[in-house]
Amino acid sequence: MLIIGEKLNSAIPGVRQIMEAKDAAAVQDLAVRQAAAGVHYLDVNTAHCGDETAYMEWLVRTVQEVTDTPLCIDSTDGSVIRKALEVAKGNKNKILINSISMEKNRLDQVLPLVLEYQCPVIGLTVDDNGIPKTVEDRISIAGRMVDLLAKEGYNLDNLYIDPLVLPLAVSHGNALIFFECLSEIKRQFKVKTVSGLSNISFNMPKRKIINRYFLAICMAHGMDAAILDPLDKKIMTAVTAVELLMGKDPFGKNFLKAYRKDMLED
Amino acid sequence: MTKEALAKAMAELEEEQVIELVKGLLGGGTAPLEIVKALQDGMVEVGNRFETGDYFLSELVMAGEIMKGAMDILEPHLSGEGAEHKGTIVIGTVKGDIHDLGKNIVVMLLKGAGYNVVDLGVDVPKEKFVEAVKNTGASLVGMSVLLTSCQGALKDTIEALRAEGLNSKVVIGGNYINETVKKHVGADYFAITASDGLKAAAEVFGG
Repeated sequence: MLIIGEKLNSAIPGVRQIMEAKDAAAVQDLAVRQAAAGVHYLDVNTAHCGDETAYMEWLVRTVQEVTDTPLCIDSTDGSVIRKALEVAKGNKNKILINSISMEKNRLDQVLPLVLEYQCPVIGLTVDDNGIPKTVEDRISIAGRMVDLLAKEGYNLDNLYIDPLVLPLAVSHGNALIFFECLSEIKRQFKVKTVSGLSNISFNMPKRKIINRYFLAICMAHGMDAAILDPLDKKIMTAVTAVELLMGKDPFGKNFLKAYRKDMLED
Repeated sequence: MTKEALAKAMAELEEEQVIELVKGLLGGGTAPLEIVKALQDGMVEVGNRFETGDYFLSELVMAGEIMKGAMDILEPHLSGEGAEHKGTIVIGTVKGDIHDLGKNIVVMLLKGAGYNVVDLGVDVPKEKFVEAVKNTGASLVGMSVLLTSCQGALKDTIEALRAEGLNSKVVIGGNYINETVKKHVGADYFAITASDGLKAAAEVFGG
């Protein structure tokens, strides 16, 4: 499974502090430790810092000084994403854009960048009417997005649909709706799926337990990628164990490798 | 590019390296049988690591797969040399018992060590053992058992072999087997672990 490391996000108060202080060493430490934990992408988000564009430029340069791990540019603002793409080193078509949606404003701003650089992209199932409550409405938005990208000649292998999980605290069926979306999107459109893990447990105690089992069930429904905290050994252990259970780890090679590197925590 | 490197790659389960080295050694003119020997050395090390608990069962299975991949490359080159092996062994889980995990491990290690193994499977009637030994002339017969209730089947099978005048050595293997059971059923060797089985084979076939 594709792992997107979530630590470099200004929504986390402590991280926002080190970003606003331009503490390069602290930022680089988070980047290096996530890379060492085996992430495929490093999410970078400066939306909660004063000047999002300026901080994004600094963050991209600072992180790329210490790691070649591809970046996941996390912003709703096209100009911020453009800046990040411009200053990033290496193959720009390796950069994951987080995200587009079927909201008109996002399509106008971000879609041209996705097409120009042919980047992989996360597509949220939301439009100008908001996040739909039902499975059917989310599938319908996903379908419209797939059609639009296909029409533009975009390689759909690079599309990761995020059906947007809503908190269990709001409605006890929200996880079930999400699992069904994962299966249906894969079945109907043959595109990849992705999710963050923390929304599901919003305003619940012991959130990590809920997040971990949520991840396992998502993976059992064929989810291809997750945005998570790779420094959490237990969540990474869950990833390794579920891949083994889902038959994606021939001879348990990766599981045993993780075991010998003392990376598994029960 | 050496045979030692190949044995090591095999022991470390480095599949791509093993295949690369086999091809390289072949291309460099090393005798195919010597390459097989190096692979077997690696397999013996895999077996040792399994016995000591450093390797897990899935890694033993993986080793078997890697070996198979390597042998697929080597086989066309071996035909000219007459498929040499250390000797023929007939093996099976006795009548009434369908456990095959232990037997399969021994089969894998015996094959890896260069024996020609005829695996009769599980729940094998004594007649089938007799027939197989007659057909192959195997000097060693392995009988696997897990259920204590199948001790009678061990005794019957060995008696059936002897009644036909077949004097192949018999090794019985299973978790609960001991010297007393061996004597009671009339076997020549007993094995609790896979490496015990290999030792018995080494004694019968002289290494």
